[in-house]
Amino acid sequence: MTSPAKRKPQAREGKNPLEWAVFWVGLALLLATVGALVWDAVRGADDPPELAVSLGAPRRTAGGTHRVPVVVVNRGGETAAGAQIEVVLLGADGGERERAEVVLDYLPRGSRREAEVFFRADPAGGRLAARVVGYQLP
Amino acid sequence: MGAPEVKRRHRRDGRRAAPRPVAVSLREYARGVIGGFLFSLPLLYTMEVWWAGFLAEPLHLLAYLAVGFLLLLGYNRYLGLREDSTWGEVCIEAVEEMGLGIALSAAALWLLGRITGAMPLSEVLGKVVVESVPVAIGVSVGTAQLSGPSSGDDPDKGMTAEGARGGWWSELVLAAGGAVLLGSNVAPTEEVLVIANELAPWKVLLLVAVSLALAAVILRFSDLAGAPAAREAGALWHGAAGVVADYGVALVCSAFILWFFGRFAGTAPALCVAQTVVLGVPATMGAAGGRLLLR
Repeated sequence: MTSPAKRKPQAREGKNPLEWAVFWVGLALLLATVGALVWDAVRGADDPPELAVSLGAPRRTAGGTHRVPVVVVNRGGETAAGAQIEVVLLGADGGERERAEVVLDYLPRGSRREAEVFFRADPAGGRLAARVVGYQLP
Repeated sequence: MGAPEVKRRHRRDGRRAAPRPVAVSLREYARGVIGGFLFSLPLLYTMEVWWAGFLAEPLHLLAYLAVGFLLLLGYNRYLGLREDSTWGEVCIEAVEEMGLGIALSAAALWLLGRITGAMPLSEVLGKVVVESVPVAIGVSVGTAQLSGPSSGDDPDKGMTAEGARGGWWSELVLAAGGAVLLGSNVAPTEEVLVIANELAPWKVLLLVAVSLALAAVILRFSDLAGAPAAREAGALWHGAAGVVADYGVALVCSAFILWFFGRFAGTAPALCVAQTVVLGVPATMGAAGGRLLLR
């Protein structure tokens, strides 16, 4: 049953400055949110994900392996899911010596994710090359 | 004393009434914050909801925000505020609650490390919008429902004409509010899809029957608090018609929520229906139970 106690007594009395402040801040937040969403929608982000992979400097780990930081940035308009990144260590002769892989769960558009891959051989003795093998469109 | 007197005073004073003490509004905001978290913390702690924030298209998010705002308007119009409040007051109230919802969900997501300054704006925006709608509905329900007897009103002096207020529309709004509140806590999880996928067709039908039976038990036989007022609220929404109407609202709400969370994209129609029915069970609990309890 609806009893007056369960109502907001708001309308019974006038609004005090605090309530008006909450209202105006709320309105500003709401308009900013809607504005940003409309802007986002108008900008039209229909182009596919565009992943750029870059590698950091290799560091030797305590376990004797070599750690290579991987940074992936999605400059496209859509989210990539389960992106598989492959890093290959090429020898001085250009042949493949070792290969490492990492999968990134979600790469929203405009986002940047960090990962690390490990090599047994020292990357200093060769050249590292990274590429995106594939991803899902969620 | 009693409601009619209060109403008369309000009419006479009109809008120039003396402002309420700040302490009273602070208490109200406190109730709103508690309600907001009470009903939406499960969602703030759910991974799939964060993902929905950046997987959803901006237009989907706008539609979600619009539906949430309409629910707030409806709830404030028929239940939150007083009978004779104007649409202007209802809108002001809804804007306040939406703003609180956005601020609270942004704060909670930041606290939980789900949004950071390094993220792109679209990701932050999506996560905040997805979480802010249930938080705002929780704020609205909390402000109206969680008040204790110390607020000065006597809870027993219910208005006799109360049930008639809004009538059919108010029942619809309440049912939808309850269905969304409960349904959105379950919908984003992968489990709905898993259940719908593995369920034999006759069991899906059985779920329909169970939902209808639950609605009937809630409305007819359990005598929940609020049932007498619902009985007054119009014969249309009581008895068998009420059960069917609640289930209808529950199915529409669960279909909308599933669509929003992208569960219908590239999915066979039969599986869409099965998912709607699976989510329909909690949504029915929300629609029928919420209709009685959220008033």
